[in-house]
Amino acid sequence: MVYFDIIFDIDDKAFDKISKLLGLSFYRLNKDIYLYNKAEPDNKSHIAFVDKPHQIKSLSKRGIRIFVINNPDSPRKIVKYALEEDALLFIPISNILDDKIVNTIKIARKYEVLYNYALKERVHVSIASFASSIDKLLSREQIISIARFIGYSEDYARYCLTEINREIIRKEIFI
Amino acid sequence: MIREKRQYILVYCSKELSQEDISALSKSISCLVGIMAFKDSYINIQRVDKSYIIISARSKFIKSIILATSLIRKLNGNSIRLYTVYTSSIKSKAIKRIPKEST
Repeated sequence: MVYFDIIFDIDDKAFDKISKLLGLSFYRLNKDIYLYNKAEPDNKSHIAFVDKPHQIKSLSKRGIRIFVINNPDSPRKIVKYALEEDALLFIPISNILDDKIVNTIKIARKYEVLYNYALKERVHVSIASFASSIDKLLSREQIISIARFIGYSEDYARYCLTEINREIIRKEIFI
Repeated sequence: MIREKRQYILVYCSKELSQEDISALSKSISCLVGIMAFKDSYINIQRVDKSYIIISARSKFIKSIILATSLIRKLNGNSIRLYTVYTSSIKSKAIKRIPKEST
């Protein structure tokens, strides 16, 4: 599976540097849209995509601390395990988009419950694109607008896209 | 009557838009945002480059329009993706954001 992601706002030099360091294919659609394709997560991956909450627990034992929540059902369990394992959660914003708008609203509402519960328990839930196909790619402004749709404040959504994601790239990928 | 501020959104389109596409896009956005904007008074779409358009609307609709652009996938039966690049209250500022290589 190929994932496309829009990374934080960076200048041209940093863009080329990251591209070389990670050895990934980067594409640039225009000035504001950066994305790269990420090969299937291997054992060395620092980010795990989880469908079920208990995977957070088992994968934490392998040292993974960042989890992308593909399935927002049972938010209480997700937040509980994230608290126990001191994990950072990610909402894959692009995957909220569905061909049918009704489905998009349904999925968005589920993520809204997860986000509100995490907020209550003080678990960090960041956002990123993590599009599963090129059709689901979003620009930065669009990611923020969907984040607002699921309950984020605009300022916090912008903070997530820049500061938190930048820290993760620094700490987790460039080790 | 106090005129409400208008804002401009620069949008990158994955395919070149015809005049027919632009009116279809206007209708799609209006439906998604939930306003009757078929008249130019609310939403105005203008082509500024072969793959860039500028959408202008009242400030209060801007956030909803950005959300709507992320939901549109098809126009007149053809697949299309729209990416919001920049928003500004000054039109010329938005136009300046078009990369030089694209013009």
